[in-house]
Amino acid sequence: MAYDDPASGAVSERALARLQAEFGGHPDVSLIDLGYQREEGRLTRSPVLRVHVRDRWLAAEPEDRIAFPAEVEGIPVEVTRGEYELE
Amino acid sequence: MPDLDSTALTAAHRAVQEAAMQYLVNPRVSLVDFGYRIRDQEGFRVTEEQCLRIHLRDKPRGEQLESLEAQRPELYLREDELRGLTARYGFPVDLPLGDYRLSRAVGAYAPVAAPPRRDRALDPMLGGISVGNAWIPGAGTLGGKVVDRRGTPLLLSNWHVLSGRWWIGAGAPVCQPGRLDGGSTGDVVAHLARDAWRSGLDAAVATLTAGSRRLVNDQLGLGPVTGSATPAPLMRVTKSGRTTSVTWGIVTSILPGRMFTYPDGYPRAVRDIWVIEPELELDRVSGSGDSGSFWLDADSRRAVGLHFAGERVPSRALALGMPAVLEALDVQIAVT
Repeated sequence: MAYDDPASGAVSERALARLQAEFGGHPDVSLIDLGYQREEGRLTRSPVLRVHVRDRWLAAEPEDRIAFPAEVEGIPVEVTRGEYELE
Repeated sequence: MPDLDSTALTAAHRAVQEAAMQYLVNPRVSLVDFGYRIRDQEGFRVTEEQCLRIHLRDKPRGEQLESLEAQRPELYLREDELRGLTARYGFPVDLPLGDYRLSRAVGAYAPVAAPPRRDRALDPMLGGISVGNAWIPGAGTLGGKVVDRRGTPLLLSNWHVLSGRWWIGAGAPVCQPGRLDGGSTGDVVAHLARDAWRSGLDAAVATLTAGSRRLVNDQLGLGPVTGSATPAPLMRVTKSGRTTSVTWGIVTSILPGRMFTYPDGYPRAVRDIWVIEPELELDRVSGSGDSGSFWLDADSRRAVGLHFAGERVPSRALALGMPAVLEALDVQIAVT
């Protein structure tokens, strides 16, 4: 799947809403958004649902971490570090 | 050096990237790299242990180290932070002694005019330089020049740069540079006028002090702003900031809102947030002290966002949509 605008598209919006409803309130999750996949470090136009997690999720043992789905409605889910702070 | 598998190599790369962003702003740190542990107290003997290395220009010990921790905590490398790096990436951290300097040039070079220092008092003032509240230690970025309905010029930045505390309201002094960069009450150039919290936006404007320094529509290293526009996914953007200077990024998503805890300890809901990230994963878009920077559409130089937060590794910036900021403060970009 490739698209030009991650903010549009009924499927991606629905998938984002589902993921936010299920995990958006978890204390280890700082953000959930719809962005673009990277290939070899470069941004592509392929959509990806991103779960931004706090450091404590990354530091926890795998068996102690909350698990996220690999995809929602055909859109892959990526877990990424997200300790956002005022700059 | 024994070969690292691709997973370990990626982890090493990320560890260096994170440590560089976190510690190179510290003037005691001269270099961050990955290599063998260096025993600097044993004649700089190199061991076979692979480490993330944060090279220090000086290594005070005993009372001197305690004094540094107490008096200049911003220069002290906290053990819990270093342990966090080790826990995240699986490599020990070494702090070797090393003060590296440029080799002396051979031959004659034509002198090149140095660009203005962002952390110094400038006249005229422009977007991309240090600013802050004169009562509070810290520094952010002077975003740029705006005007109200009567044409009165004002300085736009984040509320948490110009105030940041609920008890610091209209009339509070704003200094350029910010206090972290040596600014003081003698450098007051403006006074806080109003903020945009009624609209859920971390933004504020300050009225220029009569007889003080001028403010022009210009962004250090980028040129003047040509107006404002709504950001859009995949828009290529650029900013000029106090800490990371001119950087480039791509708008990748919009968030409806999120809670942030502010310096006065209170959480506040912020809305209309746009995510900006580098086209190449290991590039950097922003850093601590860049808050208040204008994000400009790279093609048109119209202001599309007001930078206010970010994540260091992987580098991502969060900006408020500029149209909402301008509407909430009832101002517009000064294009003349």
